[in-house]
Amino acid sequence: MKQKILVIGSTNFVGKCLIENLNASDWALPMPCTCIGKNRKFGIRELANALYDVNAVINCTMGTPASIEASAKMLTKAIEITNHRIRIVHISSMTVYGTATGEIDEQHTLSDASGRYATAHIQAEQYLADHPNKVIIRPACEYGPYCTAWSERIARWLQSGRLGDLGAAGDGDCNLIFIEDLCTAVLKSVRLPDTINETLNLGAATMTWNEYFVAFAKILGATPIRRISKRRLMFEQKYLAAPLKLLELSTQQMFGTSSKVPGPITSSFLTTCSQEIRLLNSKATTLLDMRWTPVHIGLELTAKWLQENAR
Amino acid sequence: MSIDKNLTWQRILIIDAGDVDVTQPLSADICIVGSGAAGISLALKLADSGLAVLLLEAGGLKAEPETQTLYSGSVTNTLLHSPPDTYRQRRFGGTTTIWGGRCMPFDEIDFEKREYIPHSDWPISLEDLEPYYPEANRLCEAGEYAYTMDSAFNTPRPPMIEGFESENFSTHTLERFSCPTDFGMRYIHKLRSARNIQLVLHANVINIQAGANGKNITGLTISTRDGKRHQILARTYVLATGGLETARLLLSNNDVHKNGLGNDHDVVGRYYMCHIAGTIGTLHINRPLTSLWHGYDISDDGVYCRRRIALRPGTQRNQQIGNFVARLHHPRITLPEHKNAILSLLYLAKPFIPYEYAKRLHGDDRASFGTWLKHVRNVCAGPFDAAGFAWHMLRDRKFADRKFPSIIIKPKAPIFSLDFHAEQQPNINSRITLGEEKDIFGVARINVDWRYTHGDVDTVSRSIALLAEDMKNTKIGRLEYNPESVEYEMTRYGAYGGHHIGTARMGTDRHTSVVNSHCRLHDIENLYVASSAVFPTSSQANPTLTIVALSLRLAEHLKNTAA
Repeated sequence: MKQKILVIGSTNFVGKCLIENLNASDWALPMPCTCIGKNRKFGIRELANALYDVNAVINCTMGTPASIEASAKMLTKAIEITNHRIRIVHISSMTVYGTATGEIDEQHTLSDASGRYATAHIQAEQYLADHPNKVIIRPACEYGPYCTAWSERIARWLQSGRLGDLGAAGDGDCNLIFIEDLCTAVLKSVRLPDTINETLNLGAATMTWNEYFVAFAKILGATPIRRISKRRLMFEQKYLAAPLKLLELSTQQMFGTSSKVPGPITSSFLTTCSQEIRLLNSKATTLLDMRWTPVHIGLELTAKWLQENAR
Repeated sequence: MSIDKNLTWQRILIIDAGDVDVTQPLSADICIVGSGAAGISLALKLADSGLAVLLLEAGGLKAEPETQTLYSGSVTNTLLHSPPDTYRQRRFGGTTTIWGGRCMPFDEIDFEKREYIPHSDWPISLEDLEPYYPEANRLCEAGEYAYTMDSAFNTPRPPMIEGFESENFSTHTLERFSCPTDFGMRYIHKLRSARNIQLVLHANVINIQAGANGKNITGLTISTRDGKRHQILARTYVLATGGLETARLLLSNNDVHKNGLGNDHDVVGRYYMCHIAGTIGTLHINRPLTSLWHGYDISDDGVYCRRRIALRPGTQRNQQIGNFVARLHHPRITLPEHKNAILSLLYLAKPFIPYEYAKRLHGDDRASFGTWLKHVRNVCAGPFDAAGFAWHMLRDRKFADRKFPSIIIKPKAPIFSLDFHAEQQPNINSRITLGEEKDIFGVARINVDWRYTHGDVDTVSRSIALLAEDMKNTKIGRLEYNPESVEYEMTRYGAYGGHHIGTARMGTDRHTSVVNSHCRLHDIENLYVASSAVFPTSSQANPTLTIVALSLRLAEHLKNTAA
């Protein structure tokens, strides 16, 4: 008999991929769940009821910091109501390490220094801290099909010449996790035997951001890649980022999508590109017996998907 | 100027020697003197190695005229060599703050012992250096380590000269161009983030103390310009101060070694080489302009690449001459007869072009008012060409981070001059010595006595003659030049500026070399040299990429030795 897996945040790109993977498996039956935002169908009570009926919960809520916090809080309350020691796989983020540099394992101190998302993810992890049967996953930057932030958006910027070789600004370590690897890790976490209480880094830095941009641009055919000057980056941050963000939000509000809008190159994006942080993922590699997708293969699959789904 | 005040290894990364407590020596595992391409590459490779590294820089973060004058010295023949305070920079980043960015590895033949090139023998081969070239390429921001058309480009490109097939010359090798990268500004954040590297600015090394037995170095004395002195203690010392200053430092420290450090056999400062370069002749090509490509190709990673006409190794051996490359070039700028608005604009812009570049663009020719007027007339006759070029230079060079490397003029007819760059042979009488004059620290200034040989003239003469013959035989075109003028043209602007090679050469025989294959002085256990000073021969290639590769190799050796 198939296991029923409740997926909170099933409409975002990670959720969609997880649903696809669960459906494709011979052991799982995904149960999509939206408990945050205007399309919410679950309140705490409904969520608690649902917990009685499933074997595990995956929380992959994304979106605003508020929604990340709210979903974890709601899940915690629902668990309290049911007193059910169900397996939870909670997808957090590497942003919880803040501005740390160097090699970072799961024991590293958490910090909200990198902004509101980091604060929200730390808070969400804390809500679930007392639950005894969980795997908290801290993924690196997700790339691959469906990944808006680190694939689709980057591809658009590379193709339009707004992004390229950033010089010193792109020397940071590019910690990546291919979306399929993330899904595999989540599914394996669901099936880990017995009660478990683990936190796992997913993804690693095998290149710098400059190297990632160059490699991706080559596969996309967005060549020759441009050298983006400091002056240009400063202009993007100082003068273009705010109006483009506004345009993006209003377009999203009016048309339900902002894919045609050139997204803002923000200071937080550039901070990521220069941060010298190397996630250590040996725990996940061993515990989940992971075989990570090499970046060049991941990029080729991403480019193929982008080509097939050109919007 | 103080950048980081607290003097602890964990926190301070950049300090000023003037702010350091003089009662406490600065100590480290490895002390690197000089923060140019070699010093910074070495430090970066040692980052997070667990070894405490002191990186000493005589200058500040920016150019300082008073510091730069510490490089001045004398030249025996000023027609043959530029003043020693030009083409090199005493500041953080060193000469990478003004370099042109041309990168290419040495060829296999450059490392060989060639009986016909006196003193040509490296104790290492290309194979020993090859593992370090890709990383050197990355540090120089010259893209992939791919130096042939086939390896650098996925899509076919038009040939350099359609139909030119020669047994003597190839046209498929490339030179790649760095941004050009100022190593100081580009990698300062990396040095800051490395927890084991401390950069000390305004640290002029004025004394290198050898132990009583002469077999090791026990310390350095550094001084600021205003006389504040400090002691530096390290287990290992590396001189990464360029080909001229390395010789000066070795020769001027003669307390224990009476002839200077590493100079028991009078080798330090000798065999001084630059490159032999010039522009010659008129090359008429019997092909339409569409069959020629003399400009830059841009690789997928955005790097400017340029093809050259390169003398094949087999021909070098058969002809018993040195290495040689040539490029298709524009007519001589100074002659207004070219009637080219762009070249005349460049001529008129001479006062705004840095000395190091203006010299080769214009020479030191004194032009008459009439010549000047003719150039003005050329510009007036082609205002759109001149304006277009000015815009291109502003957009693609002045304001670009990755700069268009040089002047490329699209000719109106397939007529070019030939720009050549050749190997200079090691010559024991071409040398750096200490002069009579001393600097403010009492350290003797250098005298440069650069000399070339008949062998050098022979390399250029015979290469050009071969090329002229090949052009004729393949019916590609004709190279018109006066064979008698070769020696004049190859020395018209003197030694190629900025390539200071061979003054502390590498070898196995301590009678004819200064350092061993790991760049360590033969008889001093803890003193190394990271510089083109150690190159036994000069190749046709510009030295920076190989300097960086050798420095990376040295860093690995130092790490292994420490382990």
